[in-house]
Amino acid sequence: MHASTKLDNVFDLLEYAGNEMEGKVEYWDALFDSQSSCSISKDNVDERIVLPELTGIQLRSFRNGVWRSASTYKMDESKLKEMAKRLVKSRQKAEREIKLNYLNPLRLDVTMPLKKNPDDVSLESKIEDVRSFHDAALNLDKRIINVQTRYLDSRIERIFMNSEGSSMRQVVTRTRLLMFPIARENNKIRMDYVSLGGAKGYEVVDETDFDAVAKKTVDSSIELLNAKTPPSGEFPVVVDSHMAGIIAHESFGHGLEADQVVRKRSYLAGLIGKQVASELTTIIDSSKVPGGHGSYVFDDEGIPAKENILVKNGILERFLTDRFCASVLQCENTASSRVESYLTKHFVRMSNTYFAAGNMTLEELLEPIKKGVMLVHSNFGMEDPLGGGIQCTSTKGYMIEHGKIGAPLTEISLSGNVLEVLKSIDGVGKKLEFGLGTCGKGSEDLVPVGDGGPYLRIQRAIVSGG
Amino acid sequence: MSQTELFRKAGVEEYDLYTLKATVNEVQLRGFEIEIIRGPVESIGYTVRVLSRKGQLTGLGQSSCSESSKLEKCINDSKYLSQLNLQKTKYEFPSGKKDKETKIADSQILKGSEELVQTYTDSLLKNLKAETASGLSVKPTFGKIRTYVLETHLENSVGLEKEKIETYFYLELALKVSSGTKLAEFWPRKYSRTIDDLAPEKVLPKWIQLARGTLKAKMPVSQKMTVILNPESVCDLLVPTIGFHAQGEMKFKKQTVFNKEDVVACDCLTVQDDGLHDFGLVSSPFDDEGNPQGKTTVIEKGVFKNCLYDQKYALNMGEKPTGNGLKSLAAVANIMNKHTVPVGGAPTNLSVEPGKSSLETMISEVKKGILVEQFSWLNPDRLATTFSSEIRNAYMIRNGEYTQVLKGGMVSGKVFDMIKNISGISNQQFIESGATAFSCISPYIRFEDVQVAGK
Repeated sequence: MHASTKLDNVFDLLEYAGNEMEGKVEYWDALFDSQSSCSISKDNVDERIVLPELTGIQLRSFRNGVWRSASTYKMDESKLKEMAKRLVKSRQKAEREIKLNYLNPLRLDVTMPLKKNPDDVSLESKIEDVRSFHDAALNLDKRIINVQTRYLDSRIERIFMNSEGSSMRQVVTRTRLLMFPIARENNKIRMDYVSLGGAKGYEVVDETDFDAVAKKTVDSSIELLNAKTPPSGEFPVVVDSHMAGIIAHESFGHGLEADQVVRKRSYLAGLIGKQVASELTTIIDSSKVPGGHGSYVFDDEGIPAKENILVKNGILERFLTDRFCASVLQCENTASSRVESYLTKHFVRMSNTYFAAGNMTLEELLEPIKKGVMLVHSNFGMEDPLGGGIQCTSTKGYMIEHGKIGAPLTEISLSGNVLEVLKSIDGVGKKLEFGLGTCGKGSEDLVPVGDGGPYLRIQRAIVSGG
Repeated sequence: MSQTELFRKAGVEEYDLYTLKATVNEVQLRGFEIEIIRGPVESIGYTVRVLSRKGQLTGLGQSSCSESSKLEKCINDSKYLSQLNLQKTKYEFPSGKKDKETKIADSQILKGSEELVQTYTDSLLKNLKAETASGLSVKPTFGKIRTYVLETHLENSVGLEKEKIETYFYLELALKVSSGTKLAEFWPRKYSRTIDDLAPEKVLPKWIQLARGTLKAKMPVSQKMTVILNPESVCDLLVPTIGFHAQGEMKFKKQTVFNKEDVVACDCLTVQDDGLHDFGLVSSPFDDEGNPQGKTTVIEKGVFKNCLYDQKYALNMGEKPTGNGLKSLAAVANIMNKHTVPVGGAPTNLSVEPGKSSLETMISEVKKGILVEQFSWLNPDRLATTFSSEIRNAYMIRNGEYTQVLKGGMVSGKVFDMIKNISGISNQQFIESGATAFSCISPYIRFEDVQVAGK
């Protein structure tokens, strides 16, 4: 049989695999994963269109405190029977008894709504739009030597069944539109970028003003040509929504993933109910943000999406959990178990992580700063769940001088201790914005996420730049 | 119907078909316990590229699928894409040139991965328990022990047919050390071709020492000083930057600052792209288009010598392909999904020629500096070559001696300025994977006058 030809057959296959394990393990689940995407990339020389696809099944069992899993691309009963046979055979045993909390079975079949399904747009139209977006940036400045543009839509269909009787299906489509104008002056080459999209449809393209977005992104790349190297040391800092998001996600959020707590690897263990940030700070992880890049219908253990308040007015409220961690820690399941694909392990992951908005304008945030640094447009970040360190890097920045935005700066990294930084937030902007990205746990297992926040003012933080 | 017949049926004359079959076995640890046993994890991927021509224009369409029964659709999709995608640049599939041999598989992993992973895990835990019993307690908080067996088959319409079997071993371990309320860790992530290269008795002593040392770590002060980078950090510093600017494609697109015979580094730096280094992580007899991999001198004694070419940019620039047409693996890429990555120009294993001094001598010559063993994520801007990265594990050096363990603060700079200011390269090379780049063969490198930021 073929994976995507008949849905009934997939449910039958998962049920068949489950029946092979039923009664022989404490818990089992089965996940069908079918991912297809359309990627169009264009620069001044190349145009590349790729249609990747990935389909398979992962089976999991739990017995004596130990998980087993196996995955296959072969959609047939004999293969699943062979896998199930292996999964029930494990002789491993955890040192202490761990029982998974029983959860009520659910039946769901939800396709996340879209204004315009990318599947309803012809490939020719998509290519035409990418070409138009590319061309919008082409002749804006002679120092732009190349413009990379990219369109990506991906459709993920997951079917989940487990030993509790859950039987669920979700389809989530995500669409992205990106541009990277490359500016060159003599031997100086610089680039900024724009990334638009989320768990949305082709409206991401339809609703984008190509000329305006291209102009803004080109101007930003050009500005970087004359940007100076940032100062190194401790300064008052203002970060924009992208950088706020990356602090919420990378520096803070990864320490809240309860698998790190269970492993005794989180700097936040033991701090529930304690002050971890300034009282101006509220941080949320929600897999229900409409159109959020990290949104889903249910997590990969069949728990419906939730909004989880992580920090409320500076007080740590909860960890993010999966089925195992919620059972071990005897706390709420936050629907945070995610896999990259049928080939990878379930991990506790964030979805859309953000600082709640406050009530200050950017001008008010900048006003008291005599000499400081503003970090704009996140580039990347890395977690330090045990040490609580920060590595968050922006694409660019500005000096802040006497309460005003000054000279542009090249990429800037923020370092230090995350709790010290969160406790020193003394101003929160009023406008909440989201960004989108891909998160690896450590260096692998990539899942789509959203992050964001308003402008934040940090009294002092360590910055440096190349 | 055979695959050749499927192409014929679709009316496709020029094509290639890349097939990747992967099997993974893995154990993940939670503390000293096994959290999960994964395996077998099996995937297969078919990637079809079809070439269309119209006058002087060529179009290349690519589509992938994970079932042989979908191959016919995949071929038709690729054909359709290639007709939408006509461009002025030239392309043709390479014919089968003779490859050179290189070692890329571990016979132990090929023999039986599941048992091997279990045996390795037992040995690792035994070694860790023994180490924990002596001195300051060091415990794993989690770990990943994984083997890969990859079978690649490549054929095209001009008669090329090649195949290979290769292996990888992956070890990730978070080692925690505590004393009172103080906590510290060392968190290494390593790929190798063979399991013996990452044998517990080889890697654990140094990693445990680094974890223990970090407990007493302080943040550096802000100052310019000498910085020695370990081979893993050199991998992340040089591969994304030199590897990017050395591409023929970047020359064609005017996105490189390298010109042939330009002095781009100090005369102590020689860098080759060595696609045939035994057990190099990107070593292979042939690249992902079927051209033989080889050895290309990129920088010789500080002078830029040669670009690296895939098939497309070799054709368009009147050069010969150097075996650098790769489905490039970033360090974060899922190896099992490699078939879905489009072929493009990329370095294989950048190899930095060793110097004459030992690492100990290089350290002894430092008046004031640091030696970095791990950054949180050294991820330089490929175009501008600037970076700024948080220090995870490092040593302060004063007057030739380690004086303090460091954590936090940052090292920042511009790579192409730094390589003009190298004052020493150690005399031993290591095959390394980094956090950004997948493969490098490098010694330790000492740079002068580098910005360090801290309190």
